[in-house]
Amino acid sequence: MEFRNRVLVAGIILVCFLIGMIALDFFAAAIFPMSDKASSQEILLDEIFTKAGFRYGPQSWRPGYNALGIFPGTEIEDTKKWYLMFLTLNASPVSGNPDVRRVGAVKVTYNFSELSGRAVFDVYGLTTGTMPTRTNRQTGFGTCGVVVTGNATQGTMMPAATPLNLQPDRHYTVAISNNQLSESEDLKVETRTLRFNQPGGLGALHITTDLAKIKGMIVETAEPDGFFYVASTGNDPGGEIVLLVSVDHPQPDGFTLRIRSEFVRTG
Amino acid sequence: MKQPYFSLYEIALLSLCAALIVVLNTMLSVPLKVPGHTGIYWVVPVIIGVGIVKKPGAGTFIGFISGILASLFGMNTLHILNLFIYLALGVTIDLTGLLLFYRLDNLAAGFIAGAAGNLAKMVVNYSLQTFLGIPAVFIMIGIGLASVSHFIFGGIGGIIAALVLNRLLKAGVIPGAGK
Repeated sequence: MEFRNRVLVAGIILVCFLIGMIALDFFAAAIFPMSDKASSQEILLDEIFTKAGFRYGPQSWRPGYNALGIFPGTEIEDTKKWYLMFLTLNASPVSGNPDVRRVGAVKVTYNFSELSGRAVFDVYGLTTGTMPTRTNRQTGFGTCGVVVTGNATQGTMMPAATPLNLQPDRHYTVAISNNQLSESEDLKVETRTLRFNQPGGLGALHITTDLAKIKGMIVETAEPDGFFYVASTGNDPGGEIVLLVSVDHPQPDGFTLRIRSEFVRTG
Repeated sequence: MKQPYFSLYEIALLSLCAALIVVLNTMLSVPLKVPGHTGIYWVVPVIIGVGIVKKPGAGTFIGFISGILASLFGMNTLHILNLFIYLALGVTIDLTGLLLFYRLDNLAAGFIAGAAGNLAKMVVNYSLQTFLGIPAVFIMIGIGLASVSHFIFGGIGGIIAALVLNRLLKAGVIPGAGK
């Protein structure tokens, strides 16, 4: 009988724990109200990222055929160290003949909270076959990118980040930070592979705040909320866009970045 | 001469169970997108190992070895922190086995051990995510459903392990209670 009693007691403890978790879930929503996600069907991504999403760094470069600098318009600066977060936008820009294609750009709306230092946005377009992965031009004519500066107090560490290693074959498999909590349930991480099997791929993807200037520009702002477009010209920009967010300081625990993406028709 | 706590046979068995967890995690990918669904196969080797060896520390040993292996194989971005998740699973099933007289071939006991192990894994995982920077409020919202699914899938895994132990006992492969 004692065995049965113990099974009963253990079962009761487990059920009490479950009830406690359900109660916590119920009251957490009441105590910490979260803003509703946009209900528009056009919103393809609406997610809040935290400092746990920065899985790479500290390092001075981002992936490319040859390693690229991070701050727009500059080469690699060894004294500047960045933390990197890769995420998918669930959308891709389309260029070409508007009579036969649904051309448009991907509008990315960002909202920073407690940003310390500078955050830089870059993009990668994942291609298929032998085409190299696309990315926005880092230096020279056509350089583009968005830099947001925050004045929050720097954090002490970024425990989730480890540096990327330079790959001799120029293939970089990176962890994606979307849905980080749900994927942590099963200790599996979603990844994407950036393949730079040949030079080039710098002229197809652009970051711009003005669709009339589709080749993009460098934008520097101190406003924590804003938007930009990921646009494409010329060859295939890639079927999937990966957004790279880089920060040059460890972020405070209260750091959040909300990213919303939507496809905007331009033709 | 003082006998070691675990015999060579027990060490080998527990190590194989630990390796089996990592193998299952690598091989099996069930696209259920339900929190904790991997508990259905995670808990099986641990419960079988604890149910056969029937000594305190058996589950902890399995958790420790599988945590080391998972960290070495880079199973996810938690790196060495993986160890704590696997340890939590092993220690909890260890304690449950001790509490229930190692009668893990009993379906109810198996269910409880599996559910408890999977829930402990959830708690440690979420705690680590908080440490990495995800605000606690993000974790609390949705923890009710996650707890229930961890409970159910862990329990089902425990039942599977109990059935396997039952068959092994009936076949005489492992000694029964009071060995």
